Amino acid sequence: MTTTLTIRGLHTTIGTSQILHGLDLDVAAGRTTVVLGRNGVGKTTLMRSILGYLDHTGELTFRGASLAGLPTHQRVRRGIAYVPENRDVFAGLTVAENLRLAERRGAEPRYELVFDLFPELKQRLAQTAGSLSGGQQQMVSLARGLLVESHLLIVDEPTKGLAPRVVKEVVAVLRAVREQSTLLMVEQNLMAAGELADDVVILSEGRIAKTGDRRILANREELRRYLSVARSAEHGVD
Amino acid sequence: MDTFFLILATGLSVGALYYLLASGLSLIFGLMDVLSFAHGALLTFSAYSAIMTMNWFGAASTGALLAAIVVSTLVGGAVAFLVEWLFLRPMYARGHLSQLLVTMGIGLVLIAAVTIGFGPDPRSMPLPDNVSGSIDVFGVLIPVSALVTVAAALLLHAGLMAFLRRTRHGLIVRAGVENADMVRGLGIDVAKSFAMVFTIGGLAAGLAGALALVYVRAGTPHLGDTYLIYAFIVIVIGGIGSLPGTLIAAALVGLSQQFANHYLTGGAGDLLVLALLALMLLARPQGLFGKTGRIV
Ligand SMILES: Nc1ncnc2c1ncn2[C@@H]1O[C@H](COP(=O)(O)OP(=O)(O)OP(=O)(O)O)[C@@H](O)[C@H]1O
Ligand SMILES: [Mg+2]
Repeated sequence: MTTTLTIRGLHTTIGTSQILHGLDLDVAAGRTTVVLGRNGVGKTTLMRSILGYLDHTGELTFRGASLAGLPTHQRVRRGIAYVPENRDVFAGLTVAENLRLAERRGAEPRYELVFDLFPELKQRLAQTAGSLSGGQQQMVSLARGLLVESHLLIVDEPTKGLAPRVVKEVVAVLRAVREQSTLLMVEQNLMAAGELADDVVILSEGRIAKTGDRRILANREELRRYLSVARSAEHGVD
Repeated sequence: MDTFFLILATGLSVGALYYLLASGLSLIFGLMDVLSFAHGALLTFSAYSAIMTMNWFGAASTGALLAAIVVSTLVGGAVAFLVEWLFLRPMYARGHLSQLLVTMGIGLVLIAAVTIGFGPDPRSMPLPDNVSGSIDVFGVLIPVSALVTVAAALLLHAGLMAFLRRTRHGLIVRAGVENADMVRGLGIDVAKSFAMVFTIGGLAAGLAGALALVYVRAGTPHLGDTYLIYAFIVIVIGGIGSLPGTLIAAALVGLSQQFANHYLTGGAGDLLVLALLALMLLARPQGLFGKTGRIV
C-alpha cells in the first residue's frame, strides 16, 4: 500500500506552548483517515501544521517529496486541498467568487463535478456566502476544496455545528468524494466517522494514542475513554 | 453665499487629498495588517520630485504640471515597491510592532533625505496660471486646484473599485482583506498581492504629493505629516478595508474641518474631527462601512 503523506516526529508549538509532541502518522493513498480526539487535543493543529500555517519541526513527506520549508500556498499547489474547521468562506464575496478563488492555473476547474455534488450552490452563485446557512457554507467550503483535483483532501470537522439532516447530506457528499480521493479528516461525530473511515487515528495530549482500521470505532468503551470530556476535566486539562 | 461654496470646495479638496492617502492605507491595513507610517513621508518625498520636475521644465506650463504629477505618482509607487520588497516582506512574520517601527523608520529616513537635499524651508511649487486661478461654475468662483484634486480622487476611486471588482487580483485582495490565511489555503501567493497593494498605495500617495502642492503651493519636509494623521482618522471613521466608506469619511472630515474653522474659530475644525472620531469609536467601532469590528 502506498502512502500519500508520511509524518515523522512532528512537533508544533503555538506561542510558548507545545501542542504536538513528536507525532508519527501515515496517510494511505486512496483511503480515508479519520482523526479523533478530545477538544483541544491538537487535531486542528495537526492539520494546520501539514498545511504549513504553523511553525513545526519533523519530517512531512508528501508523495515522496519533503514539504519542509514550503509556504502554505505551495503545499496546496503540490496537491493538498484544505477545508478548514470553521469553513472560512469569504463572507462578503459571492458563492461564484468563492469558487473562482479556488481556480488555479494549469488545472481544469471541475465545475460540473462540484455542481453535481452540490446542486444547491448552482442556484445561489450570486448570493454572498455570508448570507448562507451553516450547512450551505460548509458546502461552499467543500466545493472550493474539490474544484481542482488534489492528491490529498484535508477536511477539519465538516459536520460540526450542523443540524442532523444537514450532517447526513455532508456525509453523503463525502462518501461520494472518498471513492475518488485520499482523505484526511477530523470527525468527532461517531456516526459520520463510522460511515467514512477506512483508518482511524486517535490523538491524545499531542501524541498518537492509537491507530488502526475502522474496527477501532466499534469498541465504544475504549473510544469513550479517549474522547470523554469528563476525564480531561478530572485531570485539570482544558 | 460665495464663501459657502468656496469653503465647500476647499473642504472637498482637502477631503480628496485625505482620500488619496487613506485609500491606500486602508487597503494596506485591511489586507496586510500593516499600519504604514511611511505614507506621509512618501507623499512628501514624491511631492519634492514634482517640484524638481517643474523646475527642470523651467516654465510653469500645463504640460510641465502634468509631467510633474506623473513623475510624483511614479516615484511614490517605486519607493513603495522597494520598501515592501526590501523592508516589509522580511517582517511579516514578526508582528505589528516591528512593522510599525520599520515603516516609521523609513518615514524618518525619507524626510531626512528631503531635508538634506532641499533644506527645511518651504519650497514653492510654480503653477501655470490656468491652475492657480478660479473658474466660474454656475456663477460661483471655484478654485481650479479644488476641481483638480476632487477629480483625481474620484478617478482614483473609480479605478480602484474597478480593479477590486473586475480583476482576479482585485478578487484576491478582497478575499485577503477578509481572511488572508484562507487565500493561501487555496494555493494563492498572497505575498504578491501584498506587494501590489503596497505599491498601489504608494502610487496614490505620490499622486497626493503632487496634488497637495497644487493645493498648498509649497512643500516642506513635513508636508505629509498632517495628511497622514487625518488619513488614519478617515480610515477609522470610514471602516477599514472599505473604499466607499473611506471616500465618504474623507469628504466628511475635510468638510467638517473647513466649515468649523471658518464659521466657528480657527482650530475648531481639528477639534470637531477628533470629536467625530471619538463618537465613531464609541458608537460604531467598525466604522461607517466596516464589517470586522476591528479597530486600529
Ligand atoms: N492561536 C492559538 N494560540 C494559543 N493556543 C492555541 C491556539 N490555537 C490553538 N491553541 C491551543 O492548542 C491546543 C490544540 O488546539 P486545536 O485547535 O488543535 O485542538 P482541536 O483538537 O482541534 O480541538 P477542537 O476539538 O476544539 O477543534 C488547544 O489547547 C488550544 O488552546
Ligand atoms: Mg479543531
